Amino acid sequence: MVATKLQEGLTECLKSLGGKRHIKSRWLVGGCQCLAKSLTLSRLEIEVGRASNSIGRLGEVIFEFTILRELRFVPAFLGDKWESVDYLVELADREQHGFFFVQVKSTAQALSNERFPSMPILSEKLESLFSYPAPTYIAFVDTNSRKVYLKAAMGRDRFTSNPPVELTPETSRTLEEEVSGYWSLVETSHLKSTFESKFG
Amino acid sequence: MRRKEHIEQLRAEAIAKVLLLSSAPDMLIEESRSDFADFVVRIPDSQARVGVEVKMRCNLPREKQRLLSVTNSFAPYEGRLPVLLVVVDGAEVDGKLALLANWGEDGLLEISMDAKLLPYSPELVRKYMDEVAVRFEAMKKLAS
Repeated sequence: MVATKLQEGLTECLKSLGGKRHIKSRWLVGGCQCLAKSLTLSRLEIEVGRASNSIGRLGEVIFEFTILRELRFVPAFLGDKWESVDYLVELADREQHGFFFVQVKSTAQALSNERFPSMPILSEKLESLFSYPAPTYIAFVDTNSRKVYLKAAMGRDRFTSNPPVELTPETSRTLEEEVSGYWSLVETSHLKSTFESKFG
Repeated sequence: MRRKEHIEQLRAEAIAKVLLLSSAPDMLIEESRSDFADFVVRIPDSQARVGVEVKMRCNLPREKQRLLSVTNSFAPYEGRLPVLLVVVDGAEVDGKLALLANWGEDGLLEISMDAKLLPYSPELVRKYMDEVAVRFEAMKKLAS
């Protein structure tokens, strides 16, 4: 909308200036073109950036609601400054002491188990996700249907092309079980009891 | 607050955020450190901000008295922020809203504890936000 209006304005401006033969007018025309082009681009970038931020923020709160829906998990938003993960999610059952990390990718495109358009994820971000010594997932959020799809990101060799799985009450239970299962294999209580801190 | 209640409250706040951001995508959500708002939203294209208090419907009768005392407590000193009450019910992305406090003509907050809770709609959210933004601009003029 803004870009179209700017282009129309520029066309009018050029029409009114284009008839003049004086060389300085041509410089002026060139200057106007450059200025208008950069203005159009920057306004466009701002508009695209705004829309993208809005979708991102909406996707994050949809993820928060979905992960909280069955009261199995407690998400903590890590803030925009974190490079590769958006949430640390703790199991609500404190006996289990488990947690996992999530990066949220949001789109206004329709997603479904059958139809899953590719969403770009920077390879360095993926590598960073793989390096976390805890279960790590990418949550794809369809902001229109408010559905969330999860895909594990546990390692490069295990990152398949299988489509992500929708987070429903049933798969939420599966998620709880697999995260709990992971942490039950990692027995850390003896590490803590023998850990010697200089801040004790 | 017990763990389960705490998680239910987090879920209620997430529902409120989904409702608000779905209605006005440019709205910015900020965390609140005050005791009368669970979070704060900044209205798009305005410097006005609104504190959002989120309640679960089942807790509303118990909470109303506390809410009344808290809301009243900030009225005497040139109040901090208008307050939007969002009441959600269970795990559905739906709810009811009431604008509990807004800027008055004298620049102080006007409390309306009898404000009727209305069913959520994107138009209702935008209407409330517009009301706050308009009053905020009037208050700024008054102050200058």
